[in-house]
Amino acid sequence: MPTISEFFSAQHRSCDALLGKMEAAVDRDDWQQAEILFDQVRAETLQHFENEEQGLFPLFEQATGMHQGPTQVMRSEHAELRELLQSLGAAMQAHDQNAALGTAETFFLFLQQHNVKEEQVLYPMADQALQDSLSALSEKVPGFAAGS
Amino acid sequence: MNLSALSLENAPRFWTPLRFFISVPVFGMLAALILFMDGNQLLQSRWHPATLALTHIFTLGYIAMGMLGALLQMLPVVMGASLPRVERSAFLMHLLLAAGALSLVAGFLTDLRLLFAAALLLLVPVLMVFAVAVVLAIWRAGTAGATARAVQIAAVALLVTLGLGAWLVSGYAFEGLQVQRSLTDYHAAWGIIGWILMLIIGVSAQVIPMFLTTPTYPHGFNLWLVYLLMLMLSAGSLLSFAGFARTVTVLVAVLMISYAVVSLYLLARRRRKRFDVTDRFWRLGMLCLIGAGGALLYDVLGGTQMDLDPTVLYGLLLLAGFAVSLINGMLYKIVPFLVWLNLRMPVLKGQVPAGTRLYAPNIHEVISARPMQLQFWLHTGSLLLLLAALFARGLWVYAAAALLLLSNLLLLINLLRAARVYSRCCKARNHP
Repeated sequence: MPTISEFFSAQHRSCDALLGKMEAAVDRDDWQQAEILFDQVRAETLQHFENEEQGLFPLFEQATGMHQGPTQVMRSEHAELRELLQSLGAAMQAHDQNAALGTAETFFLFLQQHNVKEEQVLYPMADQALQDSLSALSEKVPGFAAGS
Repeated sequence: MNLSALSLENAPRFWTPLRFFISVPVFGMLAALILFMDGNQLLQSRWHPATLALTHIFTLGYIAMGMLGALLQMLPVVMGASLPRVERSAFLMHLLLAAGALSLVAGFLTDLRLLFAAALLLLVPVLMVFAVAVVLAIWRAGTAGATARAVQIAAVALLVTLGLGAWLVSGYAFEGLQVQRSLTDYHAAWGIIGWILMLIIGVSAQVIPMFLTTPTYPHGFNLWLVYLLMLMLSAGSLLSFAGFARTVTVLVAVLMISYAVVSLYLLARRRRKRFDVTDRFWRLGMLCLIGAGGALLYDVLGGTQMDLDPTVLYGLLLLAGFAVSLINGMLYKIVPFLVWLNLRMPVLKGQVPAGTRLYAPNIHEVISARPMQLQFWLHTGSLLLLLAALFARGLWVYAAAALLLLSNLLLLINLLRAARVYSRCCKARNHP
């Protein structure tokens, strides 16, 4: 089984890479490819949020007793990121290159500052606090036990 | 650590860091004016008063101004280290730093004791309070990350730089006070290699992978560089026996070049391939760092004497080339993001009901790509012309000054445009 830091950080990197490919497709006006990639970005991101909000965060809150702390901040940032994904989707559908690239950049930058906080603070704490709850986590998070 | 500090709510308000950022190009323009004034003379020796003035316009007015603004924004959000009463203290810090930098520069240009005394009075408190606050805030937050540790060490180097600088300025300010001018070497080394380079090495471990989607630096690389540089600086300052200074210089040059080469390697492997002006600024800065390291090695290993003061060349490459390029590039990442972030803040803070539509322009709409690219080329051109002026003398220096002026004017316009986008959106909300 991977550590929480390893598993969830790897999902961040995977999403970054997809977003990069999507931008490149938008850049060369290849909308067919761009839309396929956007669907993957959206699906991966939303699945990752789900893994955290339904799996990691409740276990973290239970183990540490912190209900209003970092997990609450992360949830509100997820909400903002979902909204940005929606705007990005609208720009993609409209094949509006400027709006798509600008919104992708905005989504990306906000995502990065969010990821840094999770990777530097939340995941290391979760690794400590949830040492004995990894099997409970793997029930909620698809692929966690397999480490992929 | 104080986890609630992680929230973006603890980020200072929009105008707090922006005051610092908008001042940066204003000092850049002042640097160009000094170049116009003293032209060739100033590039001949680092002891020329106008050269000292120009150096401190860059280090205090441009570099420290940009770094303080960025750290005030970054410390609370990324490291969970909140600074007490950040709004009011930042306002005061900006005022003291700007006035202090101007006094010192005017002091060098006029040789008036009063101006040096004013510079001491203004700069010592602000930089001391800032450095101590950074060390304490990170220590209290208990952040264990490599970046936080590196920032802390750089802040200690800032204190040493400040102490030495204050002593040197006292020699100008107070009659009869004998000051060893040889201390200037230590002041410059602690300032440039200590505060500036170590801070950039530490912060880049986080911001290069994050903003420019590169792979991460090798594990521990940046923090070890900072430890080694700190060791070199301390050993070089405290010990002196035959050949030791030479060894230290060679090692420092090798560390500089290694850092720049690894950074360029990472930048060549960005996962997002779109043109990014910040990426160009970083690459240019790293090339200047390699140039500075190379020049240091050439000098210390006995290359033929050049017809110029080598310290002026190092200063030019490390300050106007390396540090200024990176800060300029980062402003183009930070400022548009802050505009967007602050316009969305009511939603993020939950101050408006969920689902409220709140328009914020996307980041590309805040500053357009073309003027940023043009400014990058003006900046690059000014650097090349400065180098030409250093080696070839003649009228090059005036061309360099002209491009430096234009480059900073365009940077100022770009940043003011971003600020205008922010104020217009705020106004439109209040008067729908």
